[in-house]
Amino acid sequence: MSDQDILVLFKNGQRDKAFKKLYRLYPRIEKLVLSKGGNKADANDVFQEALIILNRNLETSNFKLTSSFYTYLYSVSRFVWSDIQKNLSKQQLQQLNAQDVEVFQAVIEEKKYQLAEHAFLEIGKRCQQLLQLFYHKAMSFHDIANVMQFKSSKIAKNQKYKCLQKAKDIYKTKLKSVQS
Amino acid sequence: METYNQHIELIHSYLNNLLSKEEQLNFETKLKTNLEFNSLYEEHIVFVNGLERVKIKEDIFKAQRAYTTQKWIKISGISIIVIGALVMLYTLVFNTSEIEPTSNNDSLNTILVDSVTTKKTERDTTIDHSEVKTDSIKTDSEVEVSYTTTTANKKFGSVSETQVNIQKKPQNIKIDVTNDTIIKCKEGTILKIKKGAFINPNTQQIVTGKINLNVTEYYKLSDILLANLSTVSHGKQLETGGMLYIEAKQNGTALELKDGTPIEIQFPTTNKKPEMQLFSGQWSNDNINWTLQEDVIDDLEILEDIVEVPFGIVEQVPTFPGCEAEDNETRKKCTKNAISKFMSRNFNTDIGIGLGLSGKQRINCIFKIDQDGNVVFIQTRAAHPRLSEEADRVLNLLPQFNPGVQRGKTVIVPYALPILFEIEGEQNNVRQFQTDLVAEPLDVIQPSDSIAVEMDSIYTERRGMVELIREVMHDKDFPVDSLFIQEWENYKKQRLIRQITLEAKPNVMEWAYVLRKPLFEMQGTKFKILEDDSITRGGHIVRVPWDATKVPTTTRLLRLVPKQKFSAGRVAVTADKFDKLLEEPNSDISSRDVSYYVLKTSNLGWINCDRFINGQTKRIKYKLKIKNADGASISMVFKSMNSVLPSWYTNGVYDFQTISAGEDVVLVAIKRKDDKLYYDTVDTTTKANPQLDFDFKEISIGDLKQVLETLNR
Repeated sequence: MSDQDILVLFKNGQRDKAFKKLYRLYPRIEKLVLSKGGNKADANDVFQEALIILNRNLETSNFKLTSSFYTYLYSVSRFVWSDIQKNLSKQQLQQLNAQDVEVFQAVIEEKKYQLAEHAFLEIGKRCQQLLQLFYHKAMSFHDIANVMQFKSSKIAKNQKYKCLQKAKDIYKTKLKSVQS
Repeated sequence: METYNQHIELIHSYLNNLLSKEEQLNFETKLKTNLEFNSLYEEHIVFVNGLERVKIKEDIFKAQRAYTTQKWIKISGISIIVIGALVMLYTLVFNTSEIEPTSNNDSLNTILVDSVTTKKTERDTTIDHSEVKTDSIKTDSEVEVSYTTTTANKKFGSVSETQVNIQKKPQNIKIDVTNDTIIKCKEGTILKIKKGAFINPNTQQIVTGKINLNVTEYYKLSDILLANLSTVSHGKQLETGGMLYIEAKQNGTALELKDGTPIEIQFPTTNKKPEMQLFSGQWSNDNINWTLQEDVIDDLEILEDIVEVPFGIVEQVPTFPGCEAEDNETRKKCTKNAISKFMSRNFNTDIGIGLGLSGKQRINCIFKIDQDGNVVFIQTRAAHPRLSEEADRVLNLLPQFNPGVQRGKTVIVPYALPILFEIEGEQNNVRQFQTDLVAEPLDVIQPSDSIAVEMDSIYTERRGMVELIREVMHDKDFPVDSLFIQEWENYKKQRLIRQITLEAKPNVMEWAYVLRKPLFEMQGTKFKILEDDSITRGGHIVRVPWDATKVPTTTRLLRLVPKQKFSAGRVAVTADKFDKLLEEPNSDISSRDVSYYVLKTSNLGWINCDRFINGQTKRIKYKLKIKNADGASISMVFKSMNSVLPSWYTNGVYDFQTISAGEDVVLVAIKRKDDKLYYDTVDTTTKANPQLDFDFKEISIGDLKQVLETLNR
């Protein structure tokens, strides 16, 4: 399956299938991480992060994949791993070319979202489901109330507000602990 | 907060391109000018993206699993082929060597060498293969480990055989999970299980077909103590409304609950208390610790289970026969009119004459239309008992309705109906009759700001029986003798006088006594309500009507409603059905008055319906030193509530940690030594530095059970 086919899968919203295809590249990324002193679990995390960043970039309209998936994932993985290791020197940063800078920014950006993600993981499954339905399935409160068996759309709305508020509180405390 | 919500909504619409061009421009300038709004916008983007990560990760995880299983299939496939090929090769070599046993040594040697090398490669591949296997075994054993930690429950020594005897046996129930199931357990617990609620934790697949459900109920103190259960959540004391151990199995595999399809559990209770929540239990150091099941939405779902929807807001109103129109509004109007017409046609206004009443009369009526369309729970209030009697009579004549429907389910719909008519003096019996159509009859009484209390009058409790009765009677000098107290106790047993709990302030419970209407109607009680609403007993006026200053000082509004005459659980049934239920030998309706805590659990294993106790009493550290303990287990049972505290044994000292002082408790000690059971209880009041001794007596398991059963309330 060529890169083009995978791109089509992404465009058709068959994200999981596309990921499955991309997992073929995993052994090579694993080698990269292992060679830089990580273990298998690290490699898994790094690859996962790279896929997330790829997916996010594909969804923004002005992004164009200039190289193959492998090259792109490889460079993202490299930055993710160095970022985890915190071993990027200033000198190295200055030597980055324009494309690398873009990738690096994406990695830094993603880290912010990571924190928010952890906040969501802590709010309980029903809250998560509720927010997913609202923000990603773009369901109306009426439909959400039906699916999740709330008495009325008003309760669903109220709950959504509470859940979001809870997530934000957790996020803020996390942010503080990270910054300090 | 309101603007905050609006902002979030605006940002949401902007991100989804739902705004018009103009609004978009407005939004963008706002982003540039309003700093606070900008940061909110940024934050929201971070959130939406964070939320998306959760989703993406799920997809990635799926892909990864698919990828690895594919990989393993390939590897195992290849290794099987390799092994197959090697076996064939080996047998081939073996056969040839057998066929030619007489050939010269040289050739045989080479063949042997050959076979050794092939053997070696074979071993390599099998090693590879076994790696796969151990991997899968590992995950298996992990499941097992966590499973045993939740069930392991051993304190009464090491002899497991006798331990089985002491433990309560679970009820084994076979259910078919392809349908929704409702189970009523022996002691009244009701489980509502949706179809497809279970998954196999190994395959993550939804389980179909028959499964075995093991349920053990722990309501009685004796059961709780024998199972060595206690009610503590991370050092905080709990009061329990019942504990359960639930286990689901199919072909020996322990099942788990699927996300999003929790089991609804109804715990029966005689004395409903607020703020009951569900806890999950974990055993550690021989004591169980309960952790609150966290799911913010749960409380709201309890509200959902109230199957009563006011007439004004119910999706499909119950309809009077003949009012079956398409449109809900039309039906509503038609039904209201029909009820009013029916009332004015059948109400005998002549009743009003000769009662010494004149002028405008108002009779307030409330009734409910149940799920079968029957008119039930009629209650009427009027200036004169004769009037309310007449209203009762006419309301009882109402035909069967088509029941109201909310979200596809038939529901109970309360309906309020004021009857207004005029008696213009005694001489000229000019009467105008009218039942008024109040716009939204039940808006006045919203369940959220008032508790429905089934009673005629409320009395708060004070210390002492005599004082209590005098308080109830509103008479400081009321003669209370032993005979009267006996009678009083008797009425309590018959539930004609009932103790209820009120929440005076948040978390502070107060008890109150209620004289129920049937008490006045029953012959031989000598209680009578006079026309001015005062109560007499044997000619002695014992109660004068409440005035404003005497109304109990609770923060919540109390509302008087009639007692549901026929109710099985929360569901109202007809009188016939109720009688039948009573006759059923297995039915617990008679022994437990029918009210339930309705909660939902998303976990199996140990489940507890509890609430935290936030006493304002003095807290003390409670430690016991006992010489002849020999590793006995000692539990503290509270007399005032359903609560059991465990103790931690170290160096001859039993530590109950921090408890409230001045509580009446029973200390129950059970010891096992040389395969014999020893037992003692001590009644005491908690205070600092207790000096207590136990006199351990040998006891058989059967007797122990009996003794513990005496502790049951």
